[in-house]
Amino acid sequence: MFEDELEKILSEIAEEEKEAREIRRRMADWDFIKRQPPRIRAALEYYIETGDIRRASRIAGVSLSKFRKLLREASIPVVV
Amino acid sequence: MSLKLAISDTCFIIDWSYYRKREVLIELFQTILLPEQVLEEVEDEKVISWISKNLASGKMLLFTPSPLDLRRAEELMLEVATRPHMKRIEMPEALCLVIGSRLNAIILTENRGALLVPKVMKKWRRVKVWRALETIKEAIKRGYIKVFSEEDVRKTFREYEEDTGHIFPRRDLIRAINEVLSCLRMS
Repeated sequence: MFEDELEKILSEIAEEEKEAREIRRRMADWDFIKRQPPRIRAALEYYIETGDIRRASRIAGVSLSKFRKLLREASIPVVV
Repeated sequence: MSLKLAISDTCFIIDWSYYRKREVLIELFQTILLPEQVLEEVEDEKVISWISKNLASGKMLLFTPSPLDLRRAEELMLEVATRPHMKRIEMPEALCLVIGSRLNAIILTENRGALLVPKVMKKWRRVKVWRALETIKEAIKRGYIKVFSEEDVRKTFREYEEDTGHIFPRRDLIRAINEVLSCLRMS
């Protein structure tokens, strides 16, 4: 039963990921992002594409708390 | 009646601290566990002061994972990492899942990888993982957030989005609103 449901769950997850990515791309303040130093800019772009805050904060070289603040400043929503 | 135990990961507690109705969390659960690894990641002054206040009052409890918890969390991280369709989780989320499962606590997270674990991994299916969406939904259903109309219900979810910079997936939000309306016989 669980295995039968898995394919459906995975397809829903893929769809949700796609929607979330589109929302992040659309709502992001791209002017703010472009003004950032290269490392921060790359991390914000990585987050927009993946939604992975931990890896993004490591790319930025800042703590999770600080990266969350950066997301707010860049108007990038957390879609969960 | 409040629920007994919850355990929060870093992203959940950071964002929830910005919510105007954040005290609802304290009413909803008797105790909220915070693993040491989660507290170490919090630097924001607003968040840390709210956590400190609740640690002092005993509503939040700093939790030191046992060596067995740490080992099981590491195993879970590796298991998730070997599944191509899963999103990776790291130690703080894995610890919340392991400890939450052991203590029968509700796991509070905004981490997509952690949310997927009970959906996709059979042996974790019984674990209860809540996002802010489920937390607000339960708070309304249990009367900790007072609502008098359908618009109040919608507004409550909207306020969280405004305060924290979140967006709830629309399909999940509609489902949650309908569940609340049905529970409160407003539909």
